[in-house]
Amino acid sequence: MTGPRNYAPIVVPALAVLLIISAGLSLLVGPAAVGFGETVDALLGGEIDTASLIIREVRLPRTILGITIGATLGLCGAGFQGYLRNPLAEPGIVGISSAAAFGAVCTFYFGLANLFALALPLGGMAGALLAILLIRALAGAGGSPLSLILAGIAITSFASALTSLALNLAPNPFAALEIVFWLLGSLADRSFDHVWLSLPFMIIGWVMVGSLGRPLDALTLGQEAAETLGYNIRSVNRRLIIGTALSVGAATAVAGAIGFVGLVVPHLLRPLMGHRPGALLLSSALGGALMVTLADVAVRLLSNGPEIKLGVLTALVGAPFFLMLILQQRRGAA
Amino acid sequence: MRPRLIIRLFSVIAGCVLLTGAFASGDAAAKPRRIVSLNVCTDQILMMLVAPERILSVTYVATDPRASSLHEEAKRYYNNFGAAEEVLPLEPDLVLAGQYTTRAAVTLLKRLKYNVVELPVAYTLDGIRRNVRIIARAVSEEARGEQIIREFDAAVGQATSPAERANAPVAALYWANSYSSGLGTLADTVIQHAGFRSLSDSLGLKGAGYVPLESLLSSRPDLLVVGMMRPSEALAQQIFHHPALRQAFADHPRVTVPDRYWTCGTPFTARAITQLRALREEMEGRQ
Repeated sequence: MTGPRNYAPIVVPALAVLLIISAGLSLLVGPAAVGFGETVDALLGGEIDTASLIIREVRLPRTILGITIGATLGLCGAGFQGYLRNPLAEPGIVGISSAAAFGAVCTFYFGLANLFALALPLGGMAGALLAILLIRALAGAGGSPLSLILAGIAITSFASALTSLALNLAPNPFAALEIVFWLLGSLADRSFDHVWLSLPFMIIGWVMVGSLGRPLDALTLGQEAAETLGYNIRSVNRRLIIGTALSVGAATAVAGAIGFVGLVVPHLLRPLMGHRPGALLLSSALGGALMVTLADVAVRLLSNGPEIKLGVLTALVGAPFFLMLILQQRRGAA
Repeated sequence: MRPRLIIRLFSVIAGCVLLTGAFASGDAAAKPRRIVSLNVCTDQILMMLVAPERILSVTYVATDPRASSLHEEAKRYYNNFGAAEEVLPLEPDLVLAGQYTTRAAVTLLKRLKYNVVELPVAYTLDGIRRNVRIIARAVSEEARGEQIIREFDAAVGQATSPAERANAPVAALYWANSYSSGLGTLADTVIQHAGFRSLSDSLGLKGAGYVPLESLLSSRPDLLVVGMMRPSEALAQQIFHHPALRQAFADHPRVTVPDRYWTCGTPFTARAITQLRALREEMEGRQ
């Protein structure tokens, strides 16, 4: 038996390189044929023609959103798992994403987002915050993984039902069909409008959650030990909750609920990062960005007609993973 | 007991007399007088053809100005939702339905031996003429039908020849959710009849289909014909606000043709042709 080795110094640069490559792929793949040279020209400025318009206004915002939303989900998944010391905690599974989608739906379809654009991310963040507070009340830190999952199932199905209800009541007849977007997520035809609406909130959220590395490491020794080391657990808790609500809420408001990213990525990276939750934060953000960007490229390559939703792909990868984790937990408990 | 029996007897006799009368005086008296329509397309053609007192019911869709050109007229009648249960109490002597809509009601009504006439979908201008004739025959208003068709012919005029169209501007039909109507659809027939070249020709799009925003941008049509916007928001309509679309067509004409002119092929489809033909002549004059 060899002990857990620490691959941390290699993992982060490797993920960064892979992310750059996949972002390049994301700019090159699409229904319109735009050559490599034209793509580079379009990104470096140059005159505005059709090719550059496609790259700059269609594929670039989509790529940026894939990276930032993926990073958000990976980071918050790692943060929650570290804080709750529960490998199943994830924005999608515990209902944060579904509740954020419900909040966004309420502002979007009933005209509020038309009156002032920020209502859309604000609605998403309000929904996310509500779900986190509910989760904490139902299955807070130290609660069993089982009670967390049960609470998550309840919140997810309740929020999904409310989303469906809201869409059925919405005045626009197309609304009822759009539940698929909100429950499974997509980046199809998103524009820079959506980048500007969500990115500022995501960045604030990253800073809040990303700065929790040391306290999360200390928490592995137990709450009391962390407090004696000088970390204020209440403040850690608050930063994690608000940071997640801001970033996941804003991400979901522009792209729908994309599941399983925050579950799979931290879990794959954990052994490589020497099981330190603090070190896992940055690598999970990069890994999440990589996963969503690749899924978004795959969605474009696989679809002939309207695109497959992103959440379908992430669930195809993530759900078997989730089952495997549950089996491992059972074996651990036995 | 006894008076009732007498009344029944009388009504049977009266019925027989009326029936013989109807046969004796031929078609004129056999005209259906209790007509129910279950489809917004049959609704409109029916209201054009017959006097209001012969119509019992048209659909609720016919009262929607987006879908129907006779939305005010449609409010005069009971507006049905296409259910057999609504039709039966009306005791219609003619039911008009679309070939692909309200299938459950149509099946039931046919089984109960109601007189049901189903209208095929009109994908062409000839299809519109055929449909007017089908309903005109069903309601025994052939002469009125032919008159409507003559007016329609005068309004739509002759199609431009392929040679004339060779240098015509290219029009792209773009609906919610990035859908377009390709070759073989009524909307495509209309823009070609109005003298435009159709984007679906170069894209090889047949029937209704998804056209990604990138494909629309790279094919650079001269005119964007977009679906009607609803005031309430939906993701389906966000494509029309996309910055890439706005920039690419900033100096292009963008036109909305009211959905009611071509959701159904009716004589009102001529208005879409007139509107688009005028626009094309204006665009060609500017060149």
